[in-house]
Amino acid sequence: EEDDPRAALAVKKMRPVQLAQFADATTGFVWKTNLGEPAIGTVDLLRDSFLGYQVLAGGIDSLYVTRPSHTYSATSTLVLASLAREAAHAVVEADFALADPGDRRLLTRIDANDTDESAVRDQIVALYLAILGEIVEADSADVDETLVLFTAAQTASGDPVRAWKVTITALMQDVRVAFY
Amino acid sequence: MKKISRRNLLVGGATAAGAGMLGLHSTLHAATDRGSKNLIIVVASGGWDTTYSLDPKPGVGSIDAPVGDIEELGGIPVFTDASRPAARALFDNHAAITTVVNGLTVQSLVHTDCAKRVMTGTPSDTAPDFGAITANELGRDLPAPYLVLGQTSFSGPYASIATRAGTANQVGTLLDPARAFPPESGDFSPRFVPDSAEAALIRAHVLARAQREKALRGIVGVNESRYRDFIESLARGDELAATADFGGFDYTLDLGVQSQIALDVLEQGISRVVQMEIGGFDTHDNNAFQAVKQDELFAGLAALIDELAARDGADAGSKMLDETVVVVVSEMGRTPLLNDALGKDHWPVTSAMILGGGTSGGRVLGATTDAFLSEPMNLKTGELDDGGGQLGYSNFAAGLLNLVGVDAAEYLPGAEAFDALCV
Repeated sequence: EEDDPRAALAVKKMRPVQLAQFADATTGFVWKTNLGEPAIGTVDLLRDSFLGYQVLAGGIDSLYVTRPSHTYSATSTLVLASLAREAAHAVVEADFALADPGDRRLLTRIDANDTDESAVRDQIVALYLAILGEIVEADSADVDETLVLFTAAQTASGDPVRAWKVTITALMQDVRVAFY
Repeated sequence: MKKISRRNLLVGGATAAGAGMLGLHSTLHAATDRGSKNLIIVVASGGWDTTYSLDPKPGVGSIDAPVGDIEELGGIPVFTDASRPAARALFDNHAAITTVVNGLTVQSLVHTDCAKRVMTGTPSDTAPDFGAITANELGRDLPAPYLVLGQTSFSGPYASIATRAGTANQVGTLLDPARAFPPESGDFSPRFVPDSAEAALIRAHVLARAQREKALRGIVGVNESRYRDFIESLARGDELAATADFGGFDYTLDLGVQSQIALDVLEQGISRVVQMEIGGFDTHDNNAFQAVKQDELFAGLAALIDELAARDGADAGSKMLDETVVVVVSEMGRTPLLNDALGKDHWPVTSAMILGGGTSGGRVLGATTDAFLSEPMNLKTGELDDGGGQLGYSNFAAGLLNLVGVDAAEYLPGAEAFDALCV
């Protein structure tokens, strides 16, 4: 860590549109809602300041909020957490609906009901790379920590699919997603 | 009213580490200067017609006034009518803690420009309003220093401390997964909602990694403060959810609902300033609708003041009303005469009200002429004075800041403060 080149770099908060792009690119999830035709229709929640979360996530509306927020607040962490939860649900459901792991976005190294530690570690390594951009070893402290998360969730619910949702929810709202 | 407890703080899934921050939060509360005032801002957006209540003009040929009579209520002349009972009820009960300000000039006829000027004391597009300034000075370490329940609020450089409910109260969809927006797909099969144990696991993972990242990169520039804000904000959302029921997605929050939220967050030390809003005053046709809206406004104000007077304050022996200034503004007034649609258009002179907070009451400061222009006044005394100047938006904002305990000169340099508010 002492040689970590990131230690000398300033951090920037992810802007709402960047979060939207990140979620789409990583999980395929686009955070939109349909509030009914013809009055309102579809709202892109991270790009809309009137009905969506653009301002709550620290963005501007060019009218009342003319300067963005460069740090986190109650609402911006709530937006990040909600996005993480929704995206995790979407990608886990979509991935495990595909029989061939090679066709999936994130869960490319494990089957839905596989809880073998070696396989789980392998999958976590892949998640760190895909979501956080981190290259970690399967026996690293980081993977240990996330394995604890997965295992505890899987033990509590008895459902490994749900445990992956918990795990990906945590990673999608990680500090290294919140800032770059 | 929800009381914060360790149990309901953990409902949102805060971990032991998050709960440990409760102690930090309590310390921050104690450190806040409770001698200064809380602030509730009530915006009657659209531009009210003050001849209906606060600035009576019956029998003036150059002004189309509604039906009614002037009643002196607690020292304040108020225009009342049986069809609009709420104004009388408000002033009957609370004139002693109310100051009416008339003749406030905004020098514009555009809604957003007028709102900006009244709220920020400047014509700038990037200046903070007096709510944001007050929150920054007196409560920046609170979980939601400036809670904005409406939309007419200007954060300026303090966006990070302005907790907005959103134009359509979309914060409610974030605080309760059961109220989340429906998916675009229309597939309403159950989505993933972590239970409390899962939420705690997620929070512990996020918190641990954030703490390590802060230790590694917190030495550079503003990194430390940004990581700290991220870590502290994890619990702030929990506190917001635990304190008040924001309801679900809605275009307009009832004033009564907004008042309950405001009272709860101020009482619990979650916020220092709350902005509330009621719309519908932009009566370009059917100006008679002002009666309905003003009755709704005054009824809501009366209920708010009653509740502030009932709840205990932070200091022993005091009530929340002693510690809270309520300011009621509307960004503009309405023309003296009706238009062809029996409505009234925009007018650059408006009024305001100050209630509570230990301020002097039973008085009217400032006035308008029969042409509905602002009369010159002495800003120190509030007395009409031909040698004085018209009350402007910068004067008003500066006076309000001084009233709540903020040094206005630091934020509005050069503005002569309307210090009659502080007398």
